[in-house]
Amino acid sequence: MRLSKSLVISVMVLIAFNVMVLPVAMAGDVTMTANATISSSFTETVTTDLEFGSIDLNPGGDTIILDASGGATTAATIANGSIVTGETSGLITIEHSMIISLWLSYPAAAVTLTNGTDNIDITAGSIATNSEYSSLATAHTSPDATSDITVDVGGEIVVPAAQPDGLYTGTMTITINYL
Amino acid sequence: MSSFGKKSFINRFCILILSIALALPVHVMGADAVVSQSLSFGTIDLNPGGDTITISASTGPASPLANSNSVITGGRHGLITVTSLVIEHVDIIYPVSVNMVSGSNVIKIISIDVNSQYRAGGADTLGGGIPLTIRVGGKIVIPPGQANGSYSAQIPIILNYS
Repeated sequence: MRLSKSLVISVMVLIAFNVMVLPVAMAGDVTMTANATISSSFTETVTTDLEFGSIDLNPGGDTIILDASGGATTAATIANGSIVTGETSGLITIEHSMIISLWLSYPAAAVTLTNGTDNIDITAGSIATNSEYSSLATAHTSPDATSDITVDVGGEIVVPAAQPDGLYTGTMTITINYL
Repeated sequence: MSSFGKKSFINRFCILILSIALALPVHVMGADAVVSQSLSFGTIDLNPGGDTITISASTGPASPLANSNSVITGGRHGLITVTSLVIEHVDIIYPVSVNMVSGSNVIKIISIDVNSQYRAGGADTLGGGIPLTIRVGGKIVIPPGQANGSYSAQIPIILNYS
């Protein structure tokens, strides 16, 4: 009986000892799902093409400028008195649902308009000069979250004397840079 | 060997065996950790210039906030619930980053630890079966032109009990 008491006491001491000095760190992992849905609602549309109009050309040639740097225009600046009708600046419309800031990169090189045989160039650099928001320094911030942003686009063509009649068309790439 | 000597030997042998047995882990992890809420950055009408979205849950409940005016619908912090009968200390290890994917497109979640609770020093469970909640946040940097879609990821989180 004395032996059993001794054993019990010893075991109790050992249990206490083990509990106190042998903690074991254990790890448990959890895995959490994360998600996001991207749903951009803004749109960019060419609402109006850039149109230099019908030009009854001065036989000595002429320079036609559509200056839209301050807003839309339907009145060209005509250097040599050619008669121009139906001209209008181009228009890009951007729909959005938040306040955004942007500026546009216009073609630096000349843009060629062609009738299939003959060409007329929109003068290099003239599109940026005669259009809106053409640099980071003139970046535009929408006044509110929902009103469309409109960007007016102009340019200059130099039509040489004796340019053949015809319909001249071309395309250009404009990059919209969002901030 | 005398009778007393045999008993003493048996006594010591039994003590040795019991000691070895008791030296096995006596700290039984009684904590139960479950993910009770996923981490959601919501539906993001993205600023075309890109945006940074943060869920800052390091001090409590949080919703996603946009740095550049993107419009966010829904979204919330993630939640882990740890329940135990006894008070235990738990250290929490968050991953440095996790990729959310949508097909071949990726958005990386970063800064999970700084935007989540108990990243430094861990936490003590409450014991008594009372749940301890751990809120999880993070940040995503979305570049311009990020493809539309539903992005998802699995975030492994390590809980070390001691």
